[in-house]
Parts: sequence; structure tokens; C-alpha cells
Amino acid sequence: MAEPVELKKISDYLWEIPKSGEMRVPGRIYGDQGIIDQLVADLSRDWSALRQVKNVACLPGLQKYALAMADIHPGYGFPIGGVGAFDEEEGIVTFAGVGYDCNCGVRTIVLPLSRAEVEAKKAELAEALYRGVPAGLGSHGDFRLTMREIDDCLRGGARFAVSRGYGTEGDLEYIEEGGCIAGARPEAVSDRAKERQFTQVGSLGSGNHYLEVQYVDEIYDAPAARAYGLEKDSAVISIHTGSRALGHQVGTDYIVTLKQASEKYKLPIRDRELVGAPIRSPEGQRYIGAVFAGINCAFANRQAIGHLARGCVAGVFGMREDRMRLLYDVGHNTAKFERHRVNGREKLLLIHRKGATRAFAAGSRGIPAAYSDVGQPVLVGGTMGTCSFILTGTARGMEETFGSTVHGAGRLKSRTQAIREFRGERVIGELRSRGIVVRAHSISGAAEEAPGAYKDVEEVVQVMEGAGLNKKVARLRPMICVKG
Amino acid sequence: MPYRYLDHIGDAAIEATGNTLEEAFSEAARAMCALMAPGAAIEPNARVKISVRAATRGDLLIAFLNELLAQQGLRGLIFTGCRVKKIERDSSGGHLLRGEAEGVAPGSVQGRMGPEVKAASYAGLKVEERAGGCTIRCVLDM
Repeated sequence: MAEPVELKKISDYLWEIPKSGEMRVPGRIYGDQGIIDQLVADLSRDWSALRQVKNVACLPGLQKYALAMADIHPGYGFPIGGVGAFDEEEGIVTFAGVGYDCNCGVRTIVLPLSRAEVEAKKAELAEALYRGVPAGLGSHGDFRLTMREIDDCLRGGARFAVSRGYGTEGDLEYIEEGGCIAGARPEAVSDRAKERQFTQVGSLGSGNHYLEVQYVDEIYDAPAARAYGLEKDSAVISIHTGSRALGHQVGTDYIVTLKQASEKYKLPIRDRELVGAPIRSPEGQRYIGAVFAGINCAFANRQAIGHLARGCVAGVFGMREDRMRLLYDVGHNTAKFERHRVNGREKLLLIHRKGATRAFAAGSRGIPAAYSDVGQPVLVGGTMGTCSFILTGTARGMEETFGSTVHGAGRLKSRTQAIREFRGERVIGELRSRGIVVRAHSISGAAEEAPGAYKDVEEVVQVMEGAGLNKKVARLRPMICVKG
Repeated sequence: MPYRYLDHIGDAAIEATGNTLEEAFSEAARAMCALMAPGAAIEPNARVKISVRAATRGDLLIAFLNELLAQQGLRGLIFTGCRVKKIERDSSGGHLLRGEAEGVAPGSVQGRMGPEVKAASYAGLKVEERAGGCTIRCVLDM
């Protein structure tokens, strides 16, 4: 019989799993009644996100709460939408808080084009992006790297891609961590992981990864939108991808070594994926160095893809690429050191965000000067048929969730259920009838990623705003979707 | 049914059965490969020898599926399956698997490919051997 999970309502948008048994801190889940009802119903299944929150709460050095954002669904050890902040001295780094795709994230580029201008050349642009941005299973990116060059890529991140002519120095300020996290250790990444990546930098991948051309459908916060350079009906490109095969292999390699470390350091293993090592241990330091290398790999990947996408737009519209401004690039599968206040005292923490986005508020360190009065843009992807959001963080979010929020809609239906219910060709046809051009490298993937397979992103975003953790700035609707 | 997909909200959960451990592992490989090349009658024209070692049968399953994903990427192929020829105890008390994966170049299945499997995970891992059969389960990160 599955272990029961007690839930206590704190407010309309926040629920708590009280501390009990081996839990070191309570669990806290952001959601409305519908989201919580679904999580409770899922307790009878083999995979339960609520049980995962409870398991995370048992880990040493975790600060305040085991957190889950409103897009919560079952992950590996951590729930997707999970956030865990670990004390740098006493805490651990855990594989489950990063997973198999380090620094999967979203980049949004503002185009000097209106919705109408894109609409007029929509088919041509869709074709150019489909052909010009490598995507899909087995695809190769634009780079061909050697072992030495890939080490440079893992150290340099987006900066490496810029040095190879992909984008400009000016882009770097508008990437989380300036596109290059310090402390990456390429020597902590296996040769196999590097070899798998030789041809994958500059490729989108598949599954839920995408490139969309969108328009600003609604502005909610005019001052923030002005700071971001967004106007109603202006067009943007959003790119969702991560560290590709290198990230997958880093995960595969370290889940083995971190299990040994968990046993060595007598860490509780309540779930085989929830393994880790003390942050200050040699094993922990090595894994963190590998994760940081994966983070930089993903930054380089999105930098390269952004450059290719700009080239496609430039070709179709006959304009200079430097007119397409990077709004922001932010990850949602990361473990990073950040300073936050805990019980009135600033502490250095290792923040794990697994399917959760950094959402730093106005005045926070580490955000571009142009956004310091409004906060960092938080890029939240929806589904290919609905909408995406640009949010800002709040002071309350900095306090309650260590400056973190949702990363997307969150799945509602399993992939098998989606394939049973939706046909890829029909999904694409229905979206076409609504004016959305979908170019998919995988037709079955289109069925799996059908809009009906996801929660309502508007509901998810509403929960986070209702809880006071974010403010909506703009809603984006898709015109073109290129799926891997 | 030699393999089937179980409902898993985030990713793909597979259950594979066989008269022997080798058969069940082969079916697990087929289940994983069918996600990436679904519904396509593909005649494989490339073969790759696979050899994996692990401490337990559960570790062996995960290592095996991840080895297929790595080899597929390294060799620029799309695998359609892997025939597991032998699983035996090795001298250190662990398990050794030998098999042969089959596949095609991505161009052969252009337009018919499914999404990429990122990794085989330990979530829901089960390897059950009983008289006359074997059942295994795991979740694939998509």
C-alpha cells in the first residue's frame, strides 16, 4: 500500500505537507484546488509527485521547504516543478534535482517585425526555420567539435559560441549567468559524453523541444513590457532546448557514482534517483563541476540555434541579424550557487531547479542593468496550440521560493494516452485551421505534444500570480511551431 | 504481449516480458526503439555488438538501454532493436550481457521518426524472474 501523504491548505494557492517521520522540513506545493485534486488522485499510481516532494524533504541541508511549483508532475526523485535549496556547508547536491538534461531552458529573441509582417510570409519563414535549424532524432548541429574544442565549449558556454561567430558579445548580458557559469570542470565529464556531443551543439533535439515564432497577444504590465521592448502584436522567436546528448550522458554517468557516494556518506536513499553527495565532498564537487559544464553546453547550444534562427529571419525578410535583440535566456533544469536570505540571514545555497525557472525580482543581483527596475524576464513555455507567458519575479518570490517559478504548463496526460487520443496529422491540421503552422520532424511527437496533453498554462501562471510569486508581463501566441 | 507502454504522466514507462531474461531484455530494447521509430516497418542494415556489465540485474537493464542510446548517437544510427544473446554471471559476481543491436541510418526513416529517448531511468525499475518467465519495467526519460 502506498505511503499516505497529509496535505494542509495554507491559502487558495499554497498547500503544505507537514513535517513528519524522516522529513527534515515541510513540503510546500503551489496549486489551486484542481491541481491539488489531481495530485491526490495520482497518489494511487506508481509514480506520485506528492510522494516525491515528501522524499526531497528528507534530504540533509535542505532549507525552509521542499518546494513544488504549480506545473508539478512526476519526475525522477524530484518532481518536475521542484525546487530545493541546500546549505552550502551542510547540504548535498542531488542528481534528481538536475536530471538528464542540464540547463534545458528557453531563449526569446525580439524581432523588429509585427504580427502582420510575419503572417504575410509565414509559410516561407516556417520552411526556412524547418530547414535551417537542425532538429529531430539523430540530427546534427552546425558545429563539428574536437575533444579540445568541446572542453572550450564546456568552459565558455555561450561565450564560446560567440567566439565561433554565432551571435554577438552583446547577447551575453541577456543570458542567465552571462551565458557562462564559472566553475565548470570539463575533466569531470566523461569522454563518451563529449563524443556524443561532437556534432550536437546547435541542434534543437526532439520531444517537447521546440522553436516558435510568436506574437505578443496581451500586455499586462506596461512598464515591464517597455523595459523588455515588447509591444502588442510585436513578433518574437522562442527556443526551448538543452544540453542534448552531453546532458543525457552526464546524468547516466553520475547516477551510478552518486549512488556509491550516497552509501559512503550514509545519505537516505528513498528513491534510486534521489542520490547525491555532500556539496563539499570530492564526489559532490566533481558532480557540480560536470553539471556546470552541462549548463555551459546548453548555453552554447541555444546561442548557436538563436544565431541560426536569426539567419533564417534575415534571409526571409532581408534584414540585418543585429536588429533581432535577445530578450533573455534562462534555464529550468539547473543546480547553481546563489545567495538568499534564510531566517533573516543571507546564506550561500545550492539551488536545484528541476523544471523550475529562476525568477529574480527587481533589484536582484545577476540580472541585466536594463531590467534592474522590473526584474528578470521569466520565460514560461505553453503548448504549441495555446500560449506562452513572460513574467517577472517578485520580492515575495525571492523570499518564498528562492526566486523560482514554473517552467511551463506541465503534462496532464501520459504520452501513451496522448497517442491514443490524438493523431499527429490531425493535431497539425487543427492547428493550421487556427492559423498556426506546425513543421514537425516527428509526426508521432506532434501527437504526444498535442495541446490537450498539457495542463492549461493560463491556470498554472494564474496560480503563481495569485500566490504573489510572479507578475504577468505579456502573453505570447504561436504563429509558427517547429518541433523536433 | 511481449511489451507494452504503461501510463506515466511525464515520460514513457515500459513493461517487457519473455520466457527468459534475455528475451525480456530484448523486448525492452524493442519497446524503447519503437518509441523513436514508431509504426515503421524498417529493414535494418547495420549491426553493432553490445556488451554491458553491471552489479545487479536492475543495474544491467538500465546500463543496457543507456548503452543502446549512446551507441545509437555515437554511430549516427537509429536502432530498431537489440537481440540479447546471453546474460551470465561474471567472475566478480556481477552480470554480463552480450547482444547485437540492429539499425538504420536516420535518412532511411526520415519523416517516420518519433521523439528521442534521453535516458533509461531507475524510476519504477523492476526485474522479476519466476518459473517460466520474466517481467521487467522501467521509465524512459523523454
